[in-house]
Amino acid sequence: MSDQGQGPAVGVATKGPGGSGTPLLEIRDLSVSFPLERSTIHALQGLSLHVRAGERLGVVGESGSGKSVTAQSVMRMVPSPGRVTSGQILFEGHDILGLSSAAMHDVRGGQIGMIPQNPLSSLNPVITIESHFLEVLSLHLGLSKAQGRQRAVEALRSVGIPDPLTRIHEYPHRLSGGQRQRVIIALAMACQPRLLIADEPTTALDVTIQAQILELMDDLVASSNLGAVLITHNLGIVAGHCDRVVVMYAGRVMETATVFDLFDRPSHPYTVGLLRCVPRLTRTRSRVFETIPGLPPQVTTISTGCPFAPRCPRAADRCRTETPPLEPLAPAHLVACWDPVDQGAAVAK
Amino acid sequence: MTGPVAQSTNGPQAGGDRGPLLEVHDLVVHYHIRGPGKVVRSHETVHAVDGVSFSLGSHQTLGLVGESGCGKSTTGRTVLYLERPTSGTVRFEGRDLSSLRAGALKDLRRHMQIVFQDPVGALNPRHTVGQLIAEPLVLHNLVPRRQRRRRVEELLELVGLPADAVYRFPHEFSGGQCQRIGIARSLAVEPALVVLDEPVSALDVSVQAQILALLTDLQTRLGLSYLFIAHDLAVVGQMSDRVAVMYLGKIVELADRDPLYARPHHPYTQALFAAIPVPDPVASREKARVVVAGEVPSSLAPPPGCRFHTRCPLAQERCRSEEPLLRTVGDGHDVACHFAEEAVRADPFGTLVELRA
Repeated sequence: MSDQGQGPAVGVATKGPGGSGTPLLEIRDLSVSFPLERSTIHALQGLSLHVRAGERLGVVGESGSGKSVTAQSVMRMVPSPGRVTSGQILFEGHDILGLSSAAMHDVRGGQIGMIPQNPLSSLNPVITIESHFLEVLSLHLGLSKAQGRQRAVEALRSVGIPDPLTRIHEYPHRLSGGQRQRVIIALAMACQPRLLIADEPTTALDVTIQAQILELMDDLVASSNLGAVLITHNLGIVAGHCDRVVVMYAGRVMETATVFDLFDRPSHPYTVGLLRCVPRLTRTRSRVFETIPGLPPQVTTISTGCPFAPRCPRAADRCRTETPPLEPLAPAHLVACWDPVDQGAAVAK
Repeated sequence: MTGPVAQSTNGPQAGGDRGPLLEVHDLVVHYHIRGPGKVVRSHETVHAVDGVSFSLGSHQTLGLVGESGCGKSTTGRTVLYLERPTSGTVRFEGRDLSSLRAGALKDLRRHMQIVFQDPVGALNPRHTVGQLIAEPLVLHNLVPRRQRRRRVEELLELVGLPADAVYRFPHEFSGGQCQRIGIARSLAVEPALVVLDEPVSALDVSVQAQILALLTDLQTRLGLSYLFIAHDLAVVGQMSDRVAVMYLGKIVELADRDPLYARPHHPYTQALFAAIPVPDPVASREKARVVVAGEVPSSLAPPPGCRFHTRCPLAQERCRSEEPLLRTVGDGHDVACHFAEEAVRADPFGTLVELRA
């Protein structure tokens, strides 16, 4: 199993990958499964990825690809009966899978901030915005009420909540969806985490609000040299708001590259198909649609062979029997495919 | 090809010479809220749809696009009279729906169907797929009992599902397959008009493209008209002949697909275009576009004048007091903005620069 992208980032990286030797977060060969009554769901099957400080990593995939389980694993919040069956999750060089629950408390919400998908259900409806902040700030930083209040007002101001001194006393239902997501971002950032994990942070929001929230997150990452993992199904968001991308399918990494390489020279047939399916404004009223035939796989069996083979137009016998390893095509561009699409081949834009 | 669903002979007399298939005039839908007064003050009115007019020709697709709360879904449901309008008229093949009795309305509904956003939630989990698809046939008493099974299989084939799906239940199918079942259900009665309310927004991109391809194919084969409701301008642009952009209960811009996507005139339409993430890392970093500030005001108390003036960088005094009416700025291109020409020149969100690129 090849280690991922240790070479320098190629292409035009807008933000250099920190420069330090060890990545901020490194997931090595992680497998997570959910034993059910009659079957077992293998949500992650040997996943490896890494993020550096100051880098925004996009994790894309369709539903069931294991994106959210990846986030849950890093937070050690995989819901029951799911469990990590193998692998390592190194945060600043230490395996967090080995941490005690108490030690994990400090990491979760303290050193690693999390922005969950649904801004409506992620705040406690019966306590004020202020109480949300005081809870995390006293837990992680031991701040007093007065200090916490001041910190909370600053945090709310930094995410663009107007009139934070008043808004802090409101209950969550008084805020709009976009404002609630801003509050959640402020909460995630309140303890100055070094890593931010955002799981579909804008899926529940309208496009104009989505654009505002993504811009805000970009600013926060840039100003505090955070590492960020942005989990999304939206390739448009990845293109505009990530430096590097991991494409997941059936609990595995299919391809990883800088965002420029991935869109310019996608190499895995799945990535190519996914990019062709994306609705684009430039496409006029069409009678022809690019599709990927078939359905995403059930991950109740550990597949031998490439999980994408049943839907792949290039699949050969070997693809159905042997699992392709994730191997470098170019520095920082890895692909898990026996027959990657020729880099020079034109891809429909 | 004699498709499994040929346009029925006793169906609507679809034809361009008889005027548009669907005509909506000055549609208003208000909801009156009577609450205990804690969260929502009592006796307030939600202005869900506030004077919407459009028409739809046969074999055409009209896209209805806007953000949540703009009234696009309410418009879709009211067109079918699933909801009664507060005022305004809906004419289907020239007949005013408000003049029809319940029985006549039910008969007419055979020709106008809807596909819902949540493909799984729209199907009764206790019914087999066979029962689900046969239900409209039974309801409208269309096919003799003995031929029903055959007809259901035809419909399954039409939407690309295996014939053995008949005995299975919705939970055995994926979201995309459930949407196919929903489409088969709506097509069972051989409608002329199908309202598609966010038919692909709950689906993954690869599956989304499959459903859009299916809908396009069915339209060609069966001569359907679509009212295609969605929040995604890119999806609407691939499906529609004409597009209406809604904001807070009103149509702010209505035009043929190509002119609208080449030169959106209303600042809100421009803002919407600018907000869409572009799946191109180079273009999205070079972009000159500006994100619109603020949020959609409450439909309980829409702003006076132009409803977008609270977020519009070009807003003048006149926009705050005088409501802009839809006016023609080009061939079939209507805009509700006092300063549409200026908006095209000023391009406040950098939209036009980007669309030209």
